[in-house]
Amino acid sequence: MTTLLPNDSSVQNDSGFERTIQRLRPESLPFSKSEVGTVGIELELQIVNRRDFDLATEAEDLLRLAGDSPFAEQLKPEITQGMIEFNSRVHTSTEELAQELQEFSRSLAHDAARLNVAVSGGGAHPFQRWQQQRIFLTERFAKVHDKFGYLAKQFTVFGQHIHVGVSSGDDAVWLTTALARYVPHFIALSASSPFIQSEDSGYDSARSHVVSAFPTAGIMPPCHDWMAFEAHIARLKQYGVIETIKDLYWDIRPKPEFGTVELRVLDTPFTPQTAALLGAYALMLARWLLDTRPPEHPDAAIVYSHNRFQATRRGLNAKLARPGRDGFVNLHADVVETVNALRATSRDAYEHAVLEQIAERAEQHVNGAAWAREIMNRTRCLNDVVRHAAIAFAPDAAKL
Amino acid sequence: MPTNIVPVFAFESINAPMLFGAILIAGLVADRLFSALRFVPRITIYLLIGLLIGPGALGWLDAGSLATARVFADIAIALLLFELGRYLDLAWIGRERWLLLTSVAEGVLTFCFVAAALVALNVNWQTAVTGALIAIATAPAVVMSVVRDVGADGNVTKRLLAMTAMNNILALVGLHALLPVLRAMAAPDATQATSWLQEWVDTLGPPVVMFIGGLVAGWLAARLTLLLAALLGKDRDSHFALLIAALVFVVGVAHQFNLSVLVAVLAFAVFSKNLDRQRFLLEPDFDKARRVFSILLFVVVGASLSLSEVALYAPAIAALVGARLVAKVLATTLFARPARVRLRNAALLGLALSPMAEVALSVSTLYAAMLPQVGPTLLPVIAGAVVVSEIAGPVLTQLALRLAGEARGDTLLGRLP
Repeated sequence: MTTLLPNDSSVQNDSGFERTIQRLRPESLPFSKSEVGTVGIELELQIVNRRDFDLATEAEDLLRLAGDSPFAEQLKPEITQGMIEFNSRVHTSTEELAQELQEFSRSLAHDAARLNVAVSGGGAHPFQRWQQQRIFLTERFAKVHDKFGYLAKQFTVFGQHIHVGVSSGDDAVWLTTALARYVPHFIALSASSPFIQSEDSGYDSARSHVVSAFPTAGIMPPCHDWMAFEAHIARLKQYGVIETIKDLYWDIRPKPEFGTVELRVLDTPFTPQTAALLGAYALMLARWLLDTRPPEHPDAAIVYSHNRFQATRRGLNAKLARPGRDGFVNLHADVVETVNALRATSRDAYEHAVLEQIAERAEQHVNGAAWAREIMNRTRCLNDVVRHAAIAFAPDAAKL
Repeated sequence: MPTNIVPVFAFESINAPMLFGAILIAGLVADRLFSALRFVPRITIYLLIGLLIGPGALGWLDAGSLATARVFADIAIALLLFELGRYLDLAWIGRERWLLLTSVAEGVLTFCFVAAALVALNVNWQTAVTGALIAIATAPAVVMSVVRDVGADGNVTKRLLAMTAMNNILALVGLHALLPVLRAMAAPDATQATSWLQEWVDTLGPPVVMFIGGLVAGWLAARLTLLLAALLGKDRDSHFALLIAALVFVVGVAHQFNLSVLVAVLAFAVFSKNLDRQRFLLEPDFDKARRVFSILLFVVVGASLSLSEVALYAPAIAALVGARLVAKVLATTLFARPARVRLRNAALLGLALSPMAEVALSVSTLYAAMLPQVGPTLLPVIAGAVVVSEIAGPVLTQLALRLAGEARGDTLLGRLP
């Protein structure tokens, strides 16, 4: 991996380096510390026509209509007009997060029905044509489009981001690195984009590779503390690579304005329940990591890309390289092993149930990709896959 | 025929396929020549070409060849009407009551405004009422063609298509109900009839049979198509062929039994959409077929237009077109706030509803044939209004969809080099 920030001891001890850092840090990046043990999620959702279940263009109308709903402030536009983003509230209780998502999905589906569109989860729309997508015209998205050209329209993919609260910038940097080992878990458990551009990609998460095309995708370079991170960001800004941290599409990134670490590798699952489940799993994992501080294997970064790729390709059937061990580890077994380690940390019956469900899904190789392929085998029609996905998102909303 | 500088070619001797090809080429060449004019819809260019080569100008297409080409035009209307009818999702109308209210208001206001305007101009009341009912309907073929040509999609487009389907249904129901009433009022003294039953059948029969028969034909075709779609499985090519076959068959049946083609095709579309709870039928993509047939349709329609009535009945035509446009814009903006539609977009929706044609042409001919006292005034006024709406309507619809930001190419990418 290219290391942009020197982290080996020979450079770190160089006082000249410190001076360079100071010079490159015209302004510091304040980290708004937040409560440890809090979680919030962002969901990018598909707006689909009820006529043929292709992506619709009604994001603006849906935002206006949802202006009367209790979730009005939590909805935002996304890069193209067939997308909408939901930001949950900050929760300490994972059960409350699940309840909020349930109520939200019902409310949004109801508003969507008034426009004769539906809302669906899934990491990628199975048959939309990226050429036909329309940019949602805001200043930011116009800039993104200008910068990335057609990639901006290809970015019509749908992810779930999970924010976990941390108490300091140093912890944020540490957790960002520590969570990297578990990225395959989240990719495989959330994977729900087997179909892309009307074809079965053969991947469980084809979406992940759309994101990889961006020059600022990847992972945070090794940073030991918040100061090093600030220096790295300052350099990127100085060289004109980015304007803000938002321009970095890393798999995991510290989010200083929220005081969180943001996990960004997940496909948006088909159901709000799964989204909540994965939010809870991430929170429990982060809590456990911050409490126990397991040491990172020196070769962890070497296998990261391989393991990440395997999870997108094979989902829970992936075989992971594990530094320090010979041969491969089955991803599903690794999830179960992690769940077993987390059992002692569960705080209530809901969290206990979360771990049970995660283990069960891993053992039975259940994810959104498998579900979508099953629907496709049954119906032989991608339009029906989207229709069933919209039903799964809000089963008690208007009939589809 | 006017004196021509350009030599007059008679197409009487050429056969249907030659005519088909010639019209298509004329349309395509004109389309290429005028493609730089972005504000002029493709179909307006076809219409103008039709007008130019039609009996009213150069006379290259005469009445005989127009009659031959009419079959293709009917198939084109059927294709477009069917596509449009499938946008009428009754479950949506049930959920979004503001859309239903807007549609009802649009019908009622258009009827009242147009009738009042025509009566104010001393047009007899039968003609005024008939003209007002005809004015309710928006031209489905025009709207559908413009929507597809500019690749429009969005809330205004969806409402435009659903409201066009609804106002056509409203106008067709109203006109088929009014016709027997006007015929009964115009009938000779009852005592002269052989029996009251006979008189009833004679008066009510034809329009009611035309309407109900069309409805039944559409329903049967929908049931049969859904059954076959379920048997064929979800294969896009099979469904395409199935729908073309079913549509041509429905048009044929309507012609054979003298039923309303418009009612039959619209009923087929609406029933096939709303009875299909299991979603057996894949949404058709007539894209290429539509392009070919819409060239034929609009060149033929253009050739059929006659400009002579426009000058003669200018005040009545202006009153009808003006009152109609005001009523439609007023109706669509009336419930914009509760429907949470931007007022600007609601007004644009009203503007987009302005084309008027198919119902007007087919029903006014029917009325003229069945009601001698209405025909002489009705025909030229409606024909004149159709000329104005056919030429200005597509321009307005396209403009409205562009201003609403729903046309493809008006997005960011479209403006980039």
